[in-house]
Amino acid sequence: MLKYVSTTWIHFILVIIAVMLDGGISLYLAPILFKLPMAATPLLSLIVVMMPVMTGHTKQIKSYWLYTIAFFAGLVIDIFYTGIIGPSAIGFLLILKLAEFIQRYLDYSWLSSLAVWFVSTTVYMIYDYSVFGIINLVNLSITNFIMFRLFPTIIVNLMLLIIVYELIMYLYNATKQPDISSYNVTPRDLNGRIILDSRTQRNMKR
Amino acid sequence: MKNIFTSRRLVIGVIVVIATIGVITLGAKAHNSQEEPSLPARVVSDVSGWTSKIVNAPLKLVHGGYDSLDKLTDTYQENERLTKKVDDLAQTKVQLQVLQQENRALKDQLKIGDTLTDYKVVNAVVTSRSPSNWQSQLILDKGTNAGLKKGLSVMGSGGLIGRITEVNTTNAKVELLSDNNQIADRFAIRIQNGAGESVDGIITNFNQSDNLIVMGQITSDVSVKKGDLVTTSGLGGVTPAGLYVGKVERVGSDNYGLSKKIYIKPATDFNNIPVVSVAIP
Repeated sequence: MLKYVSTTWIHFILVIIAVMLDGGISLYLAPILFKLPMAATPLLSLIVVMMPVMTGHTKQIKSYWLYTIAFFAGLVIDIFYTGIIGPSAIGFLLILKLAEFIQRYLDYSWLSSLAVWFVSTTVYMIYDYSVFGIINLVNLSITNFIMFRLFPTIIVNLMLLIIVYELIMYLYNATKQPDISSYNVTPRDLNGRIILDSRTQRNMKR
Repeated sequence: MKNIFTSRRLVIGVIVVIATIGVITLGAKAHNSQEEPSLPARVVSDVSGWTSKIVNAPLKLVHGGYDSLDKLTDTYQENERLTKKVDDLAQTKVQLQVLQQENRALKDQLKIGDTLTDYKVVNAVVTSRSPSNWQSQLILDKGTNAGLKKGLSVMGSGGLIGRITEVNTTNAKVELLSDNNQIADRFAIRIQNGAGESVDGIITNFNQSDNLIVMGQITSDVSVKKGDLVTTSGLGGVTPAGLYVGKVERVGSDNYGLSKKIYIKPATDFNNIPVVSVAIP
């Protein structure tokens, strides 16, 4: 059944669900996640945005759709959660580009996915720290940021990655279309006969 | 090794950095200055609010179930404790009603309209929370359709928790007192000591390491002690007077020892707010 569904649509729906779940997880697990001064942000949406790159399913989703979906997810986060347009919309695009760049030097395995995710998430957190620092919403030194924000966030998101990795891999594999470009199909006319070029056409081709 | 920092890439990189800073600065400025978000932003927020409710419904169910099981263990003791309180509460309620009637009658006689303590309450359910390290924001399921406006004070089960920062048609954002934003948490508050004397000041920031509200800009020398009650003073006219904030935890001074700071234990746990009440003056 799933093989008739486009991977782009599946990816889009998964990203939207992840964006909404980030808010739900933050709300219902707040006593654990936001035990100040320690705070861990769930970044499930970022994981799902990077998933096709990490798992090597980029051929199933056109590159511009991948970036459009990432931008849209970031924009929804900005509008719905923070109210400040820009940080996540731009951040998701940059991190997706970074993930693609790193993945070029690695093969497709669980460990390489983990490496790509780890570097991208760390860079995103540093980007987030800098951006919110510019608009004067950060009152944490770099040491405290690493201890109280970066480490807890990495741990929480590692757990989320482990939970969703196989499920998303399954969905991407299930929606994979057979590669028909390698088949050599002779063109036929409406009566099923092989179309033969006329002598004039053959001469023109030469 | 191939040089990844070619001059073309460097130029693109610099342009991207400048554009990012520009967009984000403009976004932040628009967020702080706009009375209400633009129409496209309102549409996105409203649709996201509905989607969020649907997607998070299973999470809510699981959380509710777990919470009920967790509370089931000490239900018996809680029931005994609450039964004793019910009689006292009934007496207090009757007394309050009588005093309210008397107050209204006296106001009518003196021809005084609504004062700082008069406000209406709109109840709302918290549907989501901002997954951000730098903002403590809740999303409510009520918006302009229920009469909410930017800047209104919001109370949790125990007392004051924050202020509305953005209102859409069907949802609103509440910035909690524990937020890093140094503008949003400025509430005019008052401490009443045992002798009936009061100390006025404002909430200047939130001490995240100790989970305490910090009261600054104190001009009075009146002494306060641990356990004194803190409420909003109503000064400024936006926040009604008499909203419970918390209890005095300790009295200290700033880094230079020049001004007094009072640390207040908040009445509400900012990490467990399922339902809120918005005070409309």
